[in-house]
Amino acid sequence: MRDADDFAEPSLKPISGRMRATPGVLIFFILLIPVGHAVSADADAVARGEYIFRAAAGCACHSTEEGEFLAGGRAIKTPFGTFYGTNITPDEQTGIGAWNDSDFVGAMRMGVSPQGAHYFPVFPYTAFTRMRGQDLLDLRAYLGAVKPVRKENRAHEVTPPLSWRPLLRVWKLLNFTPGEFKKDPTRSPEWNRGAYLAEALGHCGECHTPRNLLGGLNEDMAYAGSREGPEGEIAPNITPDVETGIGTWDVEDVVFFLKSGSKPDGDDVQGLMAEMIDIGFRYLRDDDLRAIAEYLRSLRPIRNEVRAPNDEP
Amino acid sequence: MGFAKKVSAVVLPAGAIALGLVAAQGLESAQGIIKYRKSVMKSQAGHIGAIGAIAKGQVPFKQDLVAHAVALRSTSKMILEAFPEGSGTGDTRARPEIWTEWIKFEQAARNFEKESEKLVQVAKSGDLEQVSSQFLAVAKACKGCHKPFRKKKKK
Repeated sequence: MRDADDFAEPSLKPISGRMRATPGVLIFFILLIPVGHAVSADADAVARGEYIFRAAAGCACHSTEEGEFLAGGRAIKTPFGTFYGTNITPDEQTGIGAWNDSDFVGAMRMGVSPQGAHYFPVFPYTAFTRMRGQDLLDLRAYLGAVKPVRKENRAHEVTPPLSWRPLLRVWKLLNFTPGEFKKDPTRSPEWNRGAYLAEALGHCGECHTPRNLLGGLNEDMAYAGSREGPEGEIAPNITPDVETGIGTWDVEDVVFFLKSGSKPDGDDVQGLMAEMIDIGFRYLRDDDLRAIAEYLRSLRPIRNEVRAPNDEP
Repeated sequence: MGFAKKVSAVVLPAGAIALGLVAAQGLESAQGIIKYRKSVMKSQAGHIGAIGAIAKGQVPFKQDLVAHAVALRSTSKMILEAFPEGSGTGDTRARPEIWTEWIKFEQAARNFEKESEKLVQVAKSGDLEQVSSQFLAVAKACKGCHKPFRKKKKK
């Protein structure tokens, strides 16, 4: 048994990236997360958390254009059904205002609700599990400081058996490797920063990597684009393949794009990515945007055509 | 057969044919308009891409900034006329809201004209920092129209 002292510190221990999410492991880590610990959100944490929030693409799926900021309702159309972004404002009844830190960390790292239900992987905990503990707590501080909005979540439209949440446990066994981001010591600090920003925060692969039949990410095709992007859109190939990816973009092109939404050919990006830039990426520091660009440039070019034949501006 | 019936037997089909012709003609000119406005849009994208390349420092042609900006300003004034009523069907991503919410559409287009004008002024200064930041405003203005009024790309 563990001592009560083990729960006293708000330490978020790194989870081994290799460990699979067996039920035992899941329960173990849920136990490991400190329970009932509440950090008073100081202004610094909120400011740092805002930056994390921007780097996480402004949690764009949780806002709609007409609706209130982060109060949910955005329809995310996927091949598995239509999901609705949830209310993550600090409203106690309809948002996440009643959550404590470990509820938040459990959701982000393990994809489990405070009540122990498994979240659908449309919520990219598969990426957020890579986040550093401090970044998670800072993000929580920021989310706790936004305007609370009372708005009930809309039920997802998923057909059985996909809608059956206990099955998600099996899905997790097959497709989910919890654990904090691990630096690659053979790469530069900039590369590692870019990898962290892209993998853990920006969660680029959640849309730009195609999924297998079960909805797991096909890592052999990482970043090679998906015809089944969210909201019924194409998520382009962003590997450095010259013909089918963004191989002709240099680092400055990527940086500029993430700031402006403007592609090197002068066309502007649309859909969810435009939102993600608008609420998220354009606020990032140049060195961070450059790190993301360097990381993307370092990916293995994969030839994969996802655009429509008559695609034009 | 009464007179009225006779008349309608002749007039109605003729009318239908005439209407069909008018519709076909309308459609044809709509296709012409659609092609034309795509050309206008593409030329704008071309200048925006070129300004971007200069602003990013990828090419040294700073002396061409003003020319690109002026071209963008000129074409920005062609947008509204390129969306006559009836040009929303065919090979186009124009949304019907353009015509049902014309005032909003017009505002968005005018805003793009305004930001393009500012870009000309900034380009004349030759200050790349300023050009970059005004470029962001122009890109935002593009989006101001595209987001509400342009359909998503086909899959």
